[in-house]
Amino acid sequence: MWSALGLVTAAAAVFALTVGPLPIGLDQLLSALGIRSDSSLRAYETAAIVDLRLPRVTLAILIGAALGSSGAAMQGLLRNPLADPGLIGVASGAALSAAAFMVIGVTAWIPERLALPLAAFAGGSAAAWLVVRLSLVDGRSRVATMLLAGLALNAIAGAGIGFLSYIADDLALRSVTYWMFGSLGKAGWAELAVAAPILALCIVLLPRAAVPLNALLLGEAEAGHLGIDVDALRRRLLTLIVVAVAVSVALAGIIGFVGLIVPHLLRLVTGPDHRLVIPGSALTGALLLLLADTASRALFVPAELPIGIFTALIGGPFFLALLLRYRNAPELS
Amino acid sequence: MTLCASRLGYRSGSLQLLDEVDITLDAGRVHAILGPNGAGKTTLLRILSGEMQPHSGVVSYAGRSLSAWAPRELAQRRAVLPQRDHLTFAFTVEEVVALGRLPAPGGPAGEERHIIETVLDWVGVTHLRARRYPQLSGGERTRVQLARVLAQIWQPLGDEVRTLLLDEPTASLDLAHQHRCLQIARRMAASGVAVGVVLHDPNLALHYADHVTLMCCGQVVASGAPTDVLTASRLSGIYGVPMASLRAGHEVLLRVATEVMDLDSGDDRLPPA
Repeated sequence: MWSALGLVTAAAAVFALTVGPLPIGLDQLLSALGIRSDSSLRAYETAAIVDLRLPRVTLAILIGAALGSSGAAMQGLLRNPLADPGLIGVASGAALSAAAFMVIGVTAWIPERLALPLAAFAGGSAAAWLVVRLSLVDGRSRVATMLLAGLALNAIAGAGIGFLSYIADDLALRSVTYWMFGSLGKAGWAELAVAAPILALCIVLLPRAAVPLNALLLGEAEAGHLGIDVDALRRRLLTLIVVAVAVSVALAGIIGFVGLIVPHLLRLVTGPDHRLVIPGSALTGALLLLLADTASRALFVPAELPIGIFTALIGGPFFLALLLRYRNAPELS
Repeated sequence: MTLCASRLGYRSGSLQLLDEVDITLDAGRVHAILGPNGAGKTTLLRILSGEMQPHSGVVSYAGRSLSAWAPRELAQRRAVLPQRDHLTFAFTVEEVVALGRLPAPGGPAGEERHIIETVLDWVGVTHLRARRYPQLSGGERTRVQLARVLAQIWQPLGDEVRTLLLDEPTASLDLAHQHRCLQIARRMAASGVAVGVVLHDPNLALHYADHVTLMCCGQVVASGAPTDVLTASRLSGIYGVPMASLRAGHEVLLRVATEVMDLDSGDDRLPPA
């Protein structure tokens, strides 16, 4: 099943490289990537593939995989199939920080292209850190307190973003709105060089917690009785999830639904075993985001629909359909 | 002296949940813990299992302080059946039981399979093996969890004694499975396991336990042989209901003497008809 899913993702990636305002055939693609030597390819065609589409496709795969596997790990960690990494404030913290940057326009000593993702990453991780700190009782974080603290922080961040939008001029307002819906088109090789290793590390390390996460589904005390250091597991997973999501948001803005829906889909097929759900969610998340990005580029050529709108538009009804079909299935009970 | 706790104290806010509690679980013996609701039985079990730290007193396992054990080492020797289960994800029964093998050093696949088959059979859930856990009834869930903890300490490891802690395992079981559960506890004891079990039914304790600790209000009221500890007069005092003992063959049975109970203190206290 994995190899089939991997092949489909690879095929989708190749297809995604050929789609766009500039039509490029498979032959030309192979030449541009240096797999075949063909001198008929023009420089701007090579540039479109290598400098625009390739980083974008790579980003779609990495972010999709990061969001999918973080969502799966988060749901396991909180023992709640409705949990989403957004619940602990990563996305809204990043959004507030990014909005502040765009509206107030802090003239930083680093170029804006780097400063915006950095601001978003810092805001997202700070918000998550705050939520986790607030939920600490006797040195242990409590799930219910964590969710409630996240809820409160999301509301505060929402108010902050609202206020910033209110005082923003039209241009800044437009960039804030556009950023909030997410786009994979902003990042190039420079950003990827920093983010790709971090995302890849998270994607590789998250499945390693699969077996202890399975035990954790029995309950925290029960996992402890099975010899698992629950506090250490939670610290490790929260760090990986927050880093993965904050980096994703920093590069592409807010892309909803992937972290929530993809693990659900997987569980319907494989059952709740995290050894299948986490890597499966990574692959499926990558595929989903790749397809969503390709569609968002292809539908309204040469304009493009923000990908966050697209994932929500596809994900929402799809999720409802699943819910209706499996209302009585134990997976959702 | 497998699992030994002395002078345990535990507070929650201003409530003294445990006060100077001593208890020892021995290898090869079934030790029942009884007492009214809120007597501190579950708190005691949580401290014995290492889940909670006592505010005073010490717990040692096989001569070593409980906190000095690495979690996994301990998990290979001590299994705990909690009173409530928290599993809402749709694992199959077999997958739940297999989770019990997590801390085990891991043998050949065939051997692992055999252990799971055996414990499924022991608790009588083989026919449910492919069912999703959330679809099971309360009693069936308890039996599956029991199978899981049996699988956890199925094989002896080194020369240290294994311990099985059961918190009200019979609470949601039907009559037949209550006895089956305690027979399993006896069989585990027969293979050298130290068993600690929280029970409410004194007759089950009289029939299956080697040793009984009776608790009330966070303190040990009496500890010793079941027939010495569980007397009608002592239980009457602790539970506040009249108890009578019957002799059936060479066995003693305890019953609540409902004919002299006085719960009815006037019609005005009845719910409206």
